[in-house]
Amino acid sequence: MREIRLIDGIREAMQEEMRRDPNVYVYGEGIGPRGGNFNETLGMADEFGVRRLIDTPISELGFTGMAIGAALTGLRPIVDIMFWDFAYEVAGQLINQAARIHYMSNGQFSVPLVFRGVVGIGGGAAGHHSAVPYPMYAHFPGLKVVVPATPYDAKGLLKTAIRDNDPVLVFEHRGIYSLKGMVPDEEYTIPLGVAAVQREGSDVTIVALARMVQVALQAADALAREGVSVEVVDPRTLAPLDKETILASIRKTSRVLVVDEAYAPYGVGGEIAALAADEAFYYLDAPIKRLNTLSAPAPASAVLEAEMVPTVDKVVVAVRELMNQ
Amino acid sequence: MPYSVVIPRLGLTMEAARVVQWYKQAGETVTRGEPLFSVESDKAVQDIEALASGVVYPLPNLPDEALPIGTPIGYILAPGEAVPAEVAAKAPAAATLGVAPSQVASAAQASPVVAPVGARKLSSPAARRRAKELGLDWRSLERPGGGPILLATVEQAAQQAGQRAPAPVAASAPVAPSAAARAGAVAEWLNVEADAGALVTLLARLDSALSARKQPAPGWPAWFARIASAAANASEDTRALAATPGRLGVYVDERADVLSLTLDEGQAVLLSAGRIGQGPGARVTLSLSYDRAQVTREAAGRLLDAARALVEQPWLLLAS
Repeated sequence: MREIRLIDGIREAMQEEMRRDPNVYVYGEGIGPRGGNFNETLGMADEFGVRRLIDTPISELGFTGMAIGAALTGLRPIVDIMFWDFAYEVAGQLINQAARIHYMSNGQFSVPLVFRGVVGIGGGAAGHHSAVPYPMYAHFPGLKVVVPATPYDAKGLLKTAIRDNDPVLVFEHRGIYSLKGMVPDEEYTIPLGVAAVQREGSDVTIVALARMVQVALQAADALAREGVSVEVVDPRTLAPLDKETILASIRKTSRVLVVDEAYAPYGVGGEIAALAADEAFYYLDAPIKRLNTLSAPAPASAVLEAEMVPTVDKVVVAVRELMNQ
Repeated sequence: MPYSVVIPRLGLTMEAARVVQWYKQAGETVTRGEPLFSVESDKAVQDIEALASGVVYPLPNLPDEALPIGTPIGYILAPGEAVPAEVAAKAPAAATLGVAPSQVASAAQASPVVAPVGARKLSSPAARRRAKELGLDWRSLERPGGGPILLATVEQAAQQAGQRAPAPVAASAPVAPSAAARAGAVAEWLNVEADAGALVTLLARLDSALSARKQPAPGWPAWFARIASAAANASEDTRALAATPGRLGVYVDERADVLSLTLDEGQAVLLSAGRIGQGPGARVTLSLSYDRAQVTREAAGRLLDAARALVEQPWLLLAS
C-alpha cells in the first residue's frame, strides 16, 4: 500500500489504462504539455505523446462531438471538460446522442466514452465554475454517473469507467483533489453500482457523496462524543445505484440524512428518500431529512460560500434534530 | 356533525394562546366568517372568525391560561344537534389535550366525529411494525414526555411487560402471536413456506383411490397431524414432546394463509399449518410457536425443518 492524493489516483487510472489499451485517448483544453488545469494529466504528454493527449481549442461542442464520434468507431476517448459547468454547452450531445445511440441503433453501436471534470463550490470560483450537476445526469437512462470520494475510489472507479462500453460521466470534487488515502501497489478496479460503508454506526445513516463524505465523517466523530453512533454510506455511483447497501443501513439505523452539495430539488436526497419510503418504510423511526446547498447560484464571496454549503456543524445539528424527534 | 373549534395557529413561533372573550354565548348562532372569539398570544390580542356556521357551544370550565395550539375550546353544532354527552362530560379533561392522550384517544373512539384536531395519536412506521411483531397495540402505549410513539417507546413497553422479543423470522412476515402477549409466557415463533406440489398430487390420488373403495380419505388436517408427530420424533431433542400428551399441539386452519398462534396451557410447542395453495406450484406456510423455557430455538428450528421436509416429500412418512 502507498499513500496518494485523489488527483494522483485520477492520473494513475488514465496512465494505466492508456498503457493497457492503445485505443484510450484524452481530449481537452490544456491537457497536453500543460498537464491539465489541475495537473491531472501532468507528464502524460511526455509518455503518450500529443497524438493521444489531444489539446483542443476552447470549443466544447467541437471536441465532445469529436470524442463521441471516435467512440462510435471503437476508440475509448476520455473527455476532460475541466469544469462540469462547461458541460451544459454539450448536454445535448451527452443526453441526446451519447446516452441514446446504443438503444436507438438497436445495439449496433456503443459509445465507450468517459466524460470527466470537476465539481464543487469553493475558492470563490463563483457561478460559472462551481457546478454540482450530477443529479441531472443521473436522471437520464443510458448514462452512468460516478462520484468518487476517496483516492482509492477515484482510481478504481475511473479505471472501470474507461473499460466500460457505455458513456460514463465522472464528477470529481476539486475540494478533495488533495485528499490523501491509501491505494494498493498492485492493479485493482472497483465495479460500478457498489456503495461503500465509510463508517459503521447504529443510530443514524448519513448518505453522502464526494466532499460531503469527509464532512459526514467529521460530523460523525463529533456526534460520537455525544453518544450518537453514525453510519456513513457513500453510494460512489448514482447510476447504477446500490440500493441494497443503502436500504440495509436504513433498516439497521431507522434514521436517514442525505448530505449532498448539489441542490435539493429533484435531487439525490429526494431519490434516496423515495427509496427509503418505498422499501424501508416500516423501519423508519424518524422523518427522512436532506441537507443540501442553498438553491442559488454560487457566490464569489468565500464567506457566503461557507453559508451555502452543508458543513460539519450543519450536519451535527441536523442529526441531533433527527435523534430528538 | 359537530365542528370542533380549536386554538388556532397565528404565527410560526406561536405555541399557545389564551381565550380572552367569546363573542357568542352558548346556544347563539354564528355565520361562517363572523368573529367568534378572541385570543391573546405572545404578540397581540386577535379576533378569530368562525370557520363554520351553526350553533355555538363553548366548552365550559376552560382554564384562563394559555392553551396549546389545537386544544379544543368549543363546538359549532347544526341547528337542533345535541351536544354529545361524552363531550360535555369530558370537556374539562379534553381541554388539557395532549397531557392526557389516552383519555382523548378513548373519547375519540367513543365519538369519532368530535375527535378534535391534534388528538390523533402519532407513531413512527418502525414503532408500528415492532408493536405488531410483539402483539402490542401501539395506540395503548404512552411515551414519557409526549410526542410520537417511537421504536424505543415500544421496546421499553415490551421490556416492562417482561416479554422477550421474538427473533426476527426471515421466511415471511408472521402474524403476531397472541401467545407472546400473554403475561409471563415466553413464546417465540417461526414461519416457513413449503412446496406442497407433491403433497397435493398425493392427496388427490389417495382421495380418488379411497373413494373408489367407498372409504373416507384423510384430509389435510389429519395428514398434518401425522407429519407433526413424525417431525417431532425425527430428532432426539424433540422426541419427548411427541411422547407426552398435550405438549405438542397441532392445528390446521384451512382458511388462513399464515396463522396467529397461541400456546395452550401445558403446550411446549404448537405446530400449525394454513391453507394449501392451488395448482402445481402450490405452497403452504407452516408455523411453529414454542415456549422458550421448554424448547431451544435450535430444537424448534429442527422440528420445523423436519415438518417441511415431510410436506415437500410426503413419501418420507412411510419411512418414519
